[in-house]
Amino acid sequence: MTVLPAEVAPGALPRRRQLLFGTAFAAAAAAMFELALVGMYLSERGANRGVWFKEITVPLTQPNMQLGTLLFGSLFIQWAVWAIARNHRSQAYVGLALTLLMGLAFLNQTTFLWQMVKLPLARVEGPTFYAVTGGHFALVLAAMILIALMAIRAVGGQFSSRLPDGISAAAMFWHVTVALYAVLWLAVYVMK
Amino acid sequence: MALTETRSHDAPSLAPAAEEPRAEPTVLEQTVGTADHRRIGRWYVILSLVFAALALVVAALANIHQGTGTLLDADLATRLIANNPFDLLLASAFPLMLGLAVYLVPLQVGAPSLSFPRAAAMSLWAWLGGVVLFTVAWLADGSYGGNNLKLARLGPLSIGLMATALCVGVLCVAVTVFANRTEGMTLGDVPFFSFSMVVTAILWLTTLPVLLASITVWQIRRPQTVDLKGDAFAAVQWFLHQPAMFIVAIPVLGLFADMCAGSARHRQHGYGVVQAGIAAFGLFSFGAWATTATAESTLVYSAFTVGLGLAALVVVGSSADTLRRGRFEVSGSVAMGLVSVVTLLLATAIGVVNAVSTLGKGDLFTNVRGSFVDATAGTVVGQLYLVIGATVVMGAAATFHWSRPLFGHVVPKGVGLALAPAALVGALLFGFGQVIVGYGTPDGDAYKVLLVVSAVGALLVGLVSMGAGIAAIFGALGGSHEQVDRVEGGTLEWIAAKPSRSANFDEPLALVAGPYPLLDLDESATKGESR
Repeated sequence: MTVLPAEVAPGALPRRRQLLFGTAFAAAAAAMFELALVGMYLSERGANRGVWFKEITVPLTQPNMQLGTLLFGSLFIQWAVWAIARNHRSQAYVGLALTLLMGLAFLNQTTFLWQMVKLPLARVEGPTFYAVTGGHFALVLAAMILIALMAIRAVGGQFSSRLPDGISAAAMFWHVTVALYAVLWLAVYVMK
Repeated sequence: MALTETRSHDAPSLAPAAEEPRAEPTVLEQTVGTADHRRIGRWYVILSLVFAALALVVAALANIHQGTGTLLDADLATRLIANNPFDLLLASAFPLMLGLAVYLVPLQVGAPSLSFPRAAAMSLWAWLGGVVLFTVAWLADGSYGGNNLKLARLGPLSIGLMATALCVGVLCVAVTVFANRTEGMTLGDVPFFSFSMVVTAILWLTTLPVLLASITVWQIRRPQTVDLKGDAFAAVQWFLHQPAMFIVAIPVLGLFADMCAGSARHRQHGYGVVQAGIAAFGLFSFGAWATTATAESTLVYSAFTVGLGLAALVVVGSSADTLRRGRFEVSGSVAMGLVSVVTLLLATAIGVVNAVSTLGKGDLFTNVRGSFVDATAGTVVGQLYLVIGATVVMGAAATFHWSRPLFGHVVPKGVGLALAPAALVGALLFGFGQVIVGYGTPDGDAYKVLLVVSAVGALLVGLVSMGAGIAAIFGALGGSHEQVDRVEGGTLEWIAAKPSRSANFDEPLALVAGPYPLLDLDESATKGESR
């Protein structure tokens, strides 16, 4: 292996920031989708105050755990961003893998919560509850697919300290899903 | 091999000794497998112009039926009237603007390609699939206004597919402007159309997901006892009302401003003011907050409608002033462009009148708003028709104006000039037939005549759209691809390589130092000669 001497100019890189801008726009669209669903949930709840979750209990422990899981994911993916920017590739891979694990755990927790609550779709809360939580489930799944893709590209050598955009983009999308969950957690589970 | 490693020149080449000749891709392979933004853009433009012409014929039938009540079967008429606005918007006007952007924006900002070109190709085919599914849904009695419960989900689902595809396409365009601009070009130097597409992208990406969310909740809500004539439509109706309806027309302002400066070969005074006007128009067309009827009687709603009108006026006034100051020759495209912006201004004016009328309790003026799901005529229906008319006419005008970068040859001036009167009469009649019904509440023969007038307007705009579509098809198939020496504008798309070439530009671009690099080049050449 030869290392280029310092005086040799680095080769041309793919255009920077393209992935970051693309992910920022996609994340904004995803956020609007989820926030619109939360808005509809709140509007429906306002219209049915008297019966809203009167006979069905939604526990707070699981949503708290879910929020914690996502926050840990944020920590891990930020570690991956930090590592790739310093060419600590193995640390970056571990960070990405742990984030994916947290994502998987979150999806598992969500399905567990659905089974636990056993909210019939025919009830007045049903459609908007499943739309809000299901919408966020889909967003976390999308974030995980993005992270997996960027991890594969990172393993293939496409990202390094010279071009860390892919990992940063995946991290940005993950953080947006976490922020959206915080809104959902407050609107759906805390302010019942 | 690590990134920093260099392959030795002495190392044996991994390439095969003799290159085997590659088979030329077939036309189908070239079409389906393309990631060339110019091909994708052309497909978008041609298909949406053709779909616009067809949707406008359907709109004409709907209007005649509304007037006479005898033309069509009642069930078919209900479906036709309820679904037609989505055809006009999502299958015609939105993709027409997007197609022009996919083609022109990378050229305008001097980018070697569109960002994420495969995603743009995916958006084209997904959108086309959505249009086909939507048409199948409403023809098979399964979309809004229909009775077939088995097919009930297909209509809204295909609307969701079209909206998602358009979001993906516009995202590619916006990222191109942000990340792939040529060296030296700041965001303040970006041509007006490209700038308007950035604003458009922000608005589409924050509005269309809300439409998707409305559809999602409805899909989950009542899959068995669906009411395609009530709740389902009510959930998406806000998208057909102001201010949300104006998001389709944001690029109209950008196209007009570029068209004026290009045709006049004169710099736009107050470049930033026009950009600010376009941004303000975008800001005031954000309608995802006004999804309920109660929002329409608020002061904020009225402020948004007034803001829309003022912002459009600033852009149109500034651009018209540039046209006046420059060396302007009358052309069909500029004439149609003027028709388009006048129609748009009238649509915003109707919005202001409606907003003032509904502010507070009750209506100030007689104002029958009309509804697509109830098949009633009125001012809101007419306003949407005006916005659609303005957008389709501007799309046709842009196809003529940018025919050389688009197809490699210039569409004869006479074609545009011949279609301009049809565009003027058509765009105005299409909307005003309904608007007058809304304000005048005529009955009997006058009502019938006004809706037939609106139908005639729809047919005339359809004619303009079809004319532009045919010109585009001939351009794409039989264009001479001659490089015309004359440069027709000050922005970079006018020196782009011929459409048949694979690269956007034949040579690397020089450093750009302002919004009109070609005018700068001309002026420096003139100064050099005079010395």
